[in-house]
Amino acid sequence: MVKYALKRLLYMIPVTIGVIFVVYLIMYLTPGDPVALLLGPDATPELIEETRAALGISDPFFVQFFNYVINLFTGHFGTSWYTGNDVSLRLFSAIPYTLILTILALALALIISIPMGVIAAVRQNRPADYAVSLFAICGVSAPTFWVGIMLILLFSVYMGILPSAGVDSWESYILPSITMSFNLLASITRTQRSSMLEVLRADYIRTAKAKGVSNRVAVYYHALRNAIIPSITVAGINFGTLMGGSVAIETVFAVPGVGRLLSDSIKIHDTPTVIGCMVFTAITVSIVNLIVDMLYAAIDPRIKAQYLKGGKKS
Amino acid sequence: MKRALALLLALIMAFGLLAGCGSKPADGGQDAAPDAAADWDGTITIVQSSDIIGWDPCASADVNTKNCMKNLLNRTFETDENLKAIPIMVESFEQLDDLNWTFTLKEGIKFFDGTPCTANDVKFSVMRARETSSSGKSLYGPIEEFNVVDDRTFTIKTANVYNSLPTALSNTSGAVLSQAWVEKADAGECTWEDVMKNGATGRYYLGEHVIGDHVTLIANENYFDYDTDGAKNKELIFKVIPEATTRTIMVQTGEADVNVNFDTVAMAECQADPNVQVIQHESSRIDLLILNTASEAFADKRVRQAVAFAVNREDCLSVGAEGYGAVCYSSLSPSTEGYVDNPAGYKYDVEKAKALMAEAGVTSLDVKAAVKTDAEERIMQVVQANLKEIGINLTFNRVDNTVLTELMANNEYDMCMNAYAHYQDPELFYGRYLGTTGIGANNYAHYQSAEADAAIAAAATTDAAVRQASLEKLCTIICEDVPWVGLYTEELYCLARAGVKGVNMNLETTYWYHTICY
Amino acid sequence: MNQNPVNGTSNADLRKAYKRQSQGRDIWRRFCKNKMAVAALIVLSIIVLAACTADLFWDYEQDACALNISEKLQKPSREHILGTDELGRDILCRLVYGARVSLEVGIGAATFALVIGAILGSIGGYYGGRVDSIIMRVTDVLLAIPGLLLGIAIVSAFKPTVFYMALAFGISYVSKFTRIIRSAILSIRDQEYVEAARAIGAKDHVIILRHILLNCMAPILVQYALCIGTRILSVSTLSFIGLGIQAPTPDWGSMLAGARAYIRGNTYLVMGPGLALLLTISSFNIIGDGIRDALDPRLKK
Repeated sequence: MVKYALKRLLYMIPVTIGVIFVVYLIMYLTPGDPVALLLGPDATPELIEETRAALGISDPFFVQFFNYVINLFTGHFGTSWYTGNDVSLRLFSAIPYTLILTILALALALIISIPMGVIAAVRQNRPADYAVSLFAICGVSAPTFWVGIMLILLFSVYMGILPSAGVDSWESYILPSITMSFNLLASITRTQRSSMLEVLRADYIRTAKAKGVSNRVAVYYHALRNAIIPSITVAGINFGTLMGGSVAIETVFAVPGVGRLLSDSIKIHDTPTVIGCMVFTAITVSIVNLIVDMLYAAIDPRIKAQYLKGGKKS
Repeated sequence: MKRALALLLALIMAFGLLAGCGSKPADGGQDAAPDAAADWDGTITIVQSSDIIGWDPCASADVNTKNCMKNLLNRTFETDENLKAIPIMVESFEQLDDLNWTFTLKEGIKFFDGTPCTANDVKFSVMRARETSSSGKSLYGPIEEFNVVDDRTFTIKTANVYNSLPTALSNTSGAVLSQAWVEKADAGECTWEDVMKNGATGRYYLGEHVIGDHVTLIANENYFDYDTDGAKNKELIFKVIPEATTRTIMVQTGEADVNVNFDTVAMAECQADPNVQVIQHESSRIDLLILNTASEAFADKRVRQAVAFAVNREDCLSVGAEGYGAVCYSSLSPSTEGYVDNPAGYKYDVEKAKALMAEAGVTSLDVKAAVKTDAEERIMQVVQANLKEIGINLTFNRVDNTVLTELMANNEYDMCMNAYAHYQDPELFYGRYLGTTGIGANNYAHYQSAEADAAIAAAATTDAAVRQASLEKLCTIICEDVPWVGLYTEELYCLARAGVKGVNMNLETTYWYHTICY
Repeated sequence: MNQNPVNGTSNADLRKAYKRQSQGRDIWRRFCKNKMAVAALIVLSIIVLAACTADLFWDYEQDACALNISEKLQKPSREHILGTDELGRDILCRLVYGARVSLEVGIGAATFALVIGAILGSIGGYYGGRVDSIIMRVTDVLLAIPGLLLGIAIVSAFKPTVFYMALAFGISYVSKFTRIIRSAILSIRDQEYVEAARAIGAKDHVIILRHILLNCMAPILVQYALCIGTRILSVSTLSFIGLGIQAPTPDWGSMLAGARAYIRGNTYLVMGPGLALLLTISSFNIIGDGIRDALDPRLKK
């Protein structure tokens, strides 16, 4: 297991560098002159040249990229073109909000969706199943920012029971995390339902029932344990989508997180901050995928064996 | 289980229905206004659209940053309700002759850390602004000599007649800071936040700044004028809420006390809501299109004039301010000293606009514009449709308020929008916004005219008749040249909780948050 | 076989064709039994039809783009079935034209992702080895960046036109298609009929296209439908945060963004585009599900 984990961890390094490369390349192609932004219009040509050299933007692309990666390993995300400070200053203050929000949303999605999926599967083709399925299909398809606006209208404006914006208290996190979890919740519900259906028809459940295990134990112990694996995978795969969704949700709910920092930075052409936000998100997503893979391997030893033997996953 | 599910479903449907029907009357009542005053803890929460960029007052010209700093940092002068400079740290001042001024500071002014504030610190701060800030450069450029006589007295000699010197000193870039602390910050030994906590003077000192979320200012009880002019609240919190709708909702629900960036779109709901009050102030703020005269598209005066004829102001007023205002065909605000009403005779006349385009020999033109807010985006769509009629193909991008200056200075856009108010000292204002000195800074239009510069210079005199004549001439020149296309003048609004007192508004903006209380 | 090669192959072809046809008919029959899926297909057809024939009912320039400020913010009436927006344009008309942008970007992105994914996946799966591992590393990298963020970054680097948006949002889906196609190819690469085709000297690309891709059509189709839905959602998010398509082009996301300010007094403004998005995306999702269920009847009783 340790060996497997180590191998996966090592594999993260080239992937991360690849991610940085892709993001850096896109941003390299984005128009905009940082020096003019940083120095203002009164700068002398000498100062402009000096600053260009200091920022390293007259270097060739690969030199810039290489320096960026080296700096990154020491925790430096470069200088913001907007504030003139290190990007990490704003980025690191934004990260906790996004992480809290994402984790809450993930937890919420798992807690609600798995029972819902199970109920739908157990009561297949009955009203409960149709209700859950309808809810799930709407949830997967609903634009989250629209859901967010609707939730604010309902809970903050008409009912006045929850704050509409900000991060002042734990209550402020309720609406954004519900909104954020909406899509994921729905897709896990769908996955859980279909994997549960599959498992319930599996031979070993039939065997268990035949051997006199009660229906309840068969469903909630034997079947659920196996049917939960795809749900965890779906949660892991969609973690990136979840974090990406923060772009719109953090704007709607005025959460000063990474998503809002990203969209604000795009609007002000602050390329280093945009890169910082994307790289952070990508690394987080990679780590979560790693954790999910480990969980997966822990639950299902066949995968681990395959990975160790074949050296790669299909 | 089935029942629980049915319940859940019912809830979801109820939510959908409720949200769908909308327009349910505000029932209010959960926290009625009188109670709010009774258990008021001394904290006033203000919602604004963007965060503070940085704490060096010379580094940023962003409106919301400046608004926050105006409350935090003392300058020698401040501007009052009529945008007239009034002395704050200065006990007395005198204009000895056309060029020489003498100022005496009040007694007992101390920085937050307890060290006394001297004339030396004033000199240091103003001269530093002249060196490092673009607005400081144009504001304090005319200062030829700055002499410190003693700890409380200093004299200033200007290069030419500079009647607006007190107004210039009221700018946040001229905020009085402790030389010792600023030097430390410049050397990187402390942060600018530390300077705001220790090395400045004002009615508040900085409590904390949570980037992207809020700024807390704490009342300075050692303020030299605390009893008569100090903060009436204990804490000021500036919350950053980018969404206009959310800002309004937060005041309605009581999460915030004052919304200084109120959008008139929500006027009807807010006027019907007993929990909030819409505070109105007459204003001569004029919303206008700024045409970048340095761009290829608008280099020709006739094309700019064509734009002035092509835009339907009534429509702009309707979508931009819900009709709360009056259309305006001049480039300057009607309450400006020396205002001349529409000297160039602009009106909504597409044929005339087409004729001007033909005269300029332009058949089609691609123009790029920048917009900052939802309202500007709507107005720009009207302008886009209007300009299409005369062969101008307009595209626009949403940009952040804070970078507009840089973007315009770098010629990245041909057009943008802004709103300006009447200034007590028009020659100072127009020098920065339409004169050669403002190019690369506030002169977004890159407008350069020897005639206008001459008129601005001529207005800087104590002779009232000459001054009036020069300002009228300036207004006529600018309307003829149209670097700015006036759209409409609007009233100013601010949304506050019911029971909130002491919201000060001047012709330009909401100001002086230290008097806000319940 | 040797005695009568012509007859032999044609027989085999016939049999195979018949089998494929009957299989297709079978799947279609099962799909039709799924009421939800059929309903979604009908809804989607109506949306597509409306988007295609919009010009018969309206004039694009006059009705969808031209402003009519004096009629702004009208509640639904006989004249304007869904009311008018904040600039006085008929919402129904803009919704219908807005479907064009959404569908164009959605389908464009999915097609782009499918084509690139098919090429990469086939090469990787069929040839294996070093090429394969490089391709897999690339897909790993692309999978690590959330699609929406990648799309936003690319669009902001270029221009928010339909073409660039389709490209930007397609890229992040390339990995998914690549993986599906690669694993499908891996599972059938060494099967007899592929080897037989190779033995009779068929070219590689012919084998991949005719024998392999046709055989993994099913999962591709499912993923394709889902991808369109997801990407329509992404585009609306992009427009919502103000980085989307240029006004006055009608687009659901920017309609929502423009209506946001008026949401409290005029909630109907956000209902139209919101529900249009919901309906369209859920139709694609339900159809995707329907295809999956039809292909794998075990899931349905």
